[in-house]
Amino acid sequence: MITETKKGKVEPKIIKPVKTRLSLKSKQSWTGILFISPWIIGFLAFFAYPLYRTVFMSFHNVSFGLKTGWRYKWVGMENYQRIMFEETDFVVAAQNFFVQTLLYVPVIIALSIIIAVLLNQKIKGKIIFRLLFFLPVIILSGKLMENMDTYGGMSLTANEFILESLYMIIPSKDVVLLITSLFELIVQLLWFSAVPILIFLASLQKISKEIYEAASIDGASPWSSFWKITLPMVYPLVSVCVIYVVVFLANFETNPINSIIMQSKYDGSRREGYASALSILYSLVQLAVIAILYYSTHSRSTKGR
Amino acid sequence: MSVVRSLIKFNPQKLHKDQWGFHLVLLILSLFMLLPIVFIVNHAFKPFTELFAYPPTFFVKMPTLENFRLLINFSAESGIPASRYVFNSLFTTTLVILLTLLISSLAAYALSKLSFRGKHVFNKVNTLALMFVPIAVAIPRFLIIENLGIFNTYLAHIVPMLAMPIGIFLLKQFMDQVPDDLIEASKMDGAGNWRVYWNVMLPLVKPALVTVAILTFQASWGNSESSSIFMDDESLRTLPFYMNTLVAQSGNIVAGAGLAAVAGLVMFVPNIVLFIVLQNKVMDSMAHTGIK
Repeated sequence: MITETKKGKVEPKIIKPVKTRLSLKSKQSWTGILFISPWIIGFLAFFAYPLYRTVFMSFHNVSFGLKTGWRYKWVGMENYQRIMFEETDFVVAAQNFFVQTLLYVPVIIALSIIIAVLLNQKIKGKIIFRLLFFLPVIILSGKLMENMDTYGGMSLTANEFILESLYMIIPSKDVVLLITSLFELIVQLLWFSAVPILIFLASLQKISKEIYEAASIDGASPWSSFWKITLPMVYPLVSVCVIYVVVFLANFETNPINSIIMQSKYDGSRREGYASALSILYSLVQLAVIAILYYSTHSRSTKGR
Repeated sequence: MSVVRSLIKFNPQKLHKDQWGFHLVLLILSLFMLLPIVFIVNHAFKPFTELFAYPPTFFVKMPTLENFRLLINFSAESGIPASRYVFNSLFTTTLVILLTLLISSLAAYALSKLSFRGKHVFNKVNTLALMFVPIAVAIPRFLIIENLGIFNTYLAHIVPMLAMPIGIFLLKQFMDQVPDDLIEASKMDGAGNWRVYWNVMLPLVKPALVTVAILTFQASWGNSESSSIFMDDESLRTLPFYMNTLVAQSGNIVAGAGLAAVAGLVMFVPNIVLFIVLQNKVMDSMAHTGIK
């Protein structure tokens, strides 16, 4: 293994510079475009153009009649004004989303790093454990979560056995309630952390054991080798996960803002123009959350290195 | 503390004392990960009395097959056989997965390992595209489908699903971790870009490919929107749409709740089967692929 990587590293660096560069570069730029062209076409047709239309519609009052077809009436900033200053439903929901996501995402990331480290251990039944932790990827849907919520699947308090045994250990009722509600929240967040776990696990598996061996020979304690080796190695992926999780939370079905947007599309006084303005504002809120989280994690990662 | 300690003790011969701790933590947490499945299965077997019981129960007490019988009866009454919807769903989902994997891995390879003009702009654009809520573009999509002339065809199920920025995003992240030296070495050996892409890159990022495939499957399999917005012809609609209409058509709330419970189970079974088949490859450690 070691000799192979050495070969791979040394050889090309010696041969590369003079001969191949020029011809390769112009050729590569064409292949690059060729490789990416199917995506560009799809992107233009199903993303860039619709986005342009959405922006266009957000400044208009849109109406649809069977005979007249689509009609657009220029209203300027009126849609935005209504959302921001006259009607309160979006502003309140967006504030909630903003605060909630800022609090949830760091917890989700921390949980998934811890679980990824645990899953990377040599333990019995590793495959089954891994399977279980990736399960939410395939079954989590808004409908299911709502359903489970109404049937008491997510609350510990519905389970009398657990509740009573907790009371046995902890006498104070308030403390028990605090613990159970915290636990419920963590379980919910765990369901969102499947893909981050996957990403972290993949990068953990790439850390070679020799590094840990060398560190332990030099007298590093396990604790410090976690902070000095494991964490810096997976840290570059944190910002990737941040983006993924925020986008996932924002688009999740139980998110009230999505239903506000869908409903206003058919609401007589609002229609498509208003809905478009809503979705653009929502995207901006989401961008703000990502920007805050991304830069707060990003700068630390460069400092750490 | 103990987490890391056992990292350093390589190849423990027996179950180490420290490891009991891990097992306990993982066991407790994984019990909660199992909850959704337990719920779906339990829910489908509940008789009416339990579906509407107050306080609601999580576990079934007297399992029946009544809900399943209802589903079969209702689907026998509808004009188009249920197998048609199953076929539509399978057909479109398979195509969506294959095309998404092809398109996004090609683009991700170019964005990650090739150098060409505008590469950074494309990169930024894709990351930005990720952050715009799908609903933002859902409103005008109908017009585009109509203008392209693919309204009421299978293509209307497939084409809009292909623009999935998250796929490119994840694949690119994995491809960035493949060392450039490996690519250069295989180019030295005479492999062209296509060959490097097909024979070197794709096998290396297999776990990421499988992950993207699962995510795409989920998005496409559960998608009932394209059936209701882009389709007029009943025989072109897909299974999730059919399940929704069955529940809505059943007429009374009691039968509807039972049907919805079974429909949930039926829609979920392919998910779990696919996942069990593919789980090996998802968790295939990258360490064995020579990237180290």
